[in-house]
Amino acid sequence: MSTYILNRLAQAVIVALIVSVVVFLLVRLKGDPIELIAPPEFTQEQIQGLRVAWGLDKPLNVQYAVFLSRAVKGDFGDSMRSKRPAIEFVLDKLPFTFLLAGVSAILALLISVPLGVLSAVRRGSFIDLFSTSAATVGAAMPNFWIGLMLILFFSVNLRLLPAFGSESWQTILMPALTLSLGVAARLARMTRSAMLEVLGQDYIRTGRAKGLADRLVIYRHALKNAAIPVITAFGLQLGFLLSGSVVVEQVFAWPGLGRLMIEAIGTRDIAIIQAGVLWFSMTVLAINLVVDVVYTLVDPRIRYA
Amino acid sequence: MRNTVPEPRALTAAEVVQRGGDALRHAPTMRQVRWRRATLYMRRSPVGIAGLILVGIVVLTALLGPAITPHEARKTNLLTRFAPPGTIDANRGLHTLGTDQLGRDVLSRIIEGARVSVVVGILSSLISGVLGVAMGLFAGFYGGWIDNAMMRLTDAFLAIPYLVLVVAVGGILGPGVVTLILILGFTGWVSYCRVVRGEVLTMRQQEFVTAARALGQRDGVLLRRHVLPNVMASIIVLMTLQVATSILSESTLSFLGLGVQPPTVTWGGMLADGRQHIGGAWWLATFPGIAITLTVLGTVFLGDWLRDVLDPKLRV
Repeated sequence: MSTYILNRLAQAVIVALIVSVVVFLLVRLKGDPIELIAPPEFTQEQIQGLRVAWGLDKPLNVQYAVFLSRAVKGDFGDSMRSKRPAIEFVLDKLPFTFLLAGVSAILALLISVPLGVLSAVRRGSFIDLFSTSAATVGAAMPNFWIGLMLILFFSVNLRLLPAFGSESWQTILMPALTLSLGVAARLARMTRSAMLEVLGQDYIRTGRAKGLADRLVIYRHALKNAAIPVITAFGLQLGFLLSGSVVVEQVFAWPGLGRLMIEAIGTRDIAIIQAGVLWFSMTVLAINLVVDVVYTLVDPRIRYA
Repeated sequence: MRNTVPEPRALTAAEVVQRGGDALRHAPTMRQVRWRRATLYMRRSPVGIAGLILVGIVVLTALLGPAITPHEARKTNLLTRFAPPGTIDANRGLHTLGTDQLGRDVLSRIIEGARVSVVVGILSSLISGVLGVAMGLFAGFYGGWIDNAMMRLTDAFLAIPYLVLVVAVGGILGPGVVTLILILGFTGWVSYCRVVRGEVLTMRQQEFVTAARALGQRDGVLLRRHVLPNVMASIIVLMTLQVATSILSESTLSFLGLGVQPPTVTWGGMLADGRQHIGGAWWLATFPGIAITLTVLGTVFLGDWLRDVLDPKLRV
C-alpha cells in the first residue's frame, strides 16, 4: 500500500519534471525568447543587457537549471509590464479559478449522476432517450458557445443574471453552468454505462430475488459499485474543467488564471505565461495523484504491487 | 430415344480444381464483404446516416465555398448593418440568416467558414495521427524503458490542460492557418499513442508476431506488414474523433483571437463578433455555433458508426 503511494509519488515527480521541460522549451519555440521580451524600440545594447539580465546568454542546459531551481521556489521572474513578480499575479487570480472550477465540478456531479442513474434504471424510457441525446449534443457544443447562449437567454432576454464580471454571487452562476455542462454530459454517459453494467450482475439479481426494495438495490448495492469508474472519470474530467476555464473566463470576463494567461499572451509577458501553464499543470497532477490514492483507500479490492 | 441421366461418378482431380477455382472467383472478396457489412450497418443505423449526411454537407460546402454563397462573404454594406434573419434588401436580395455589424451576409460567411474548419480539422488530425501511431507502435513493440519513458511523456502532456497548452503555444508562435494546423497536430497525438501502444502490447505476445520473427523478418517490416494493419481499425476511429476535437479547438482559438485571423472567415471568429454585439443581434452569436455543433456531431456520429463497422469490440 505505502509502496504503491511512494511509487505513484515518484512517478508524479518525474512527470512534473517533464512538464517543466515542456514549459521551459515553450517560450523558446521561436528560437531566441529575447524577441518576445524586448520592446521593439530597444537598441542592440539594451537588448544585450536584457539578455544578460534574463540569463539568456548562457547555454541552454544552464538556463534550464536556473529556471528549475527558481521555479521550485516559486520564482518565475518579474512580469514584463509591471515590475511585480509573476507569481504574485498568478496567486491573485488562482482563487477565482479554483472557485469557478469547484462550483462547476459540484454542479456537474449534481446534474450528471442522477440523470445517469435514472436513465440506466429506466433504460429505453423517455428520460433515458432525453438524457442520452442531451449528453451527445452537449458534448458536441463548444463551451464558449454554450456561454453565449446562456447570456442571450438569461441576460439579454430575461434580464435575470449579470452577463459579465465577478462582483455579486449571481455572476458565478452562468460561467459555472457553462463550464459544467460539457463535463456533465460525459459524466452522465459514464454513469449510465457503469450502472448498466452493475445492474446486470448476479448479486443485483440475488438482491431483487430475495425481495429487497428497488431503492435499496439501486442506491446501496448498485450505485456504490458503479461509483468506482465514475470517480476515475471525474478525476480526469477535472483536467477538462480547468482547460475549459480558459475560454469560459474570457466569455464572462471572470478574473481568473485563464483570463490572466490570455492577457499575458496579448502583452507577450512570458514570465506570467510560464507561471500560468506550470500552475495549471501542477494542479492537474495533484488532483490525479489524490484521486489515485483515494481510490486505493476506497476500494479494498484494488491491490497494487 | 429417352434422355439418359448420366451415372453419378467421382470427380476427377482436374474437375475439383476447376470447380474450386470457379467458387473462389465468384466468392466475395474481403473488400466486398466489408462493403456489404458497412451498407447493412448503415441501413440499420439512423445515427450513421445522420453522420454521413452532416459530414457530407459540411465537406461539400467547404469544397464549393464561394461558388454557392448567396452573397459575397467579405463584402461590407454599411446601409444594411444588423439586418435580422429573413431581411430582404432592395439591392442585394434576401439575407436568410441576417447581416453582421458591417452589413456582411451571415449565411455566406458560415458557408465560407466551413473551409477553415474542414482543412484544419483533417490536416491536424492526420499529423497527430502519424506522430501518435508511430510513437505508440514504438512504445508498445519495444516495451521496457522506451515504453516507460514514452508513457511518462504522455502523462506530462495529459497533465498540461489541453487548451492551456494550445493557447500558450498559439500565443507564442502567433496566429495563422499553417501554425494552427501544426500546433493542433503536434499536441493531439497523446490519445493515439496510448491506444495503439495498448493494442500492440497485447499483440506482441500473439503467434503471428512470433512466427514472423521466427521467419527472420526485420522489425520495421514486421511492424508495417503485420502489426499496423491490425491496429488500423482503432486508428481510423480515433482519427475521426480527433477531427471533431480539432474543429472544436480551432474554433476556440479563433474565438479567442489566437487562431486564424480576419479577413479569413472562421466560425470561431464570427462568434467573437457575436459576443461583442450580443445585446442587439442574437443571430450573430447563434448561427455559427449551430454550424460548429452540427459539424462536430456529424463527425462523432460517423466515428461511432465506423467503430461498429470496423470492429464492434473496439473500446476507443
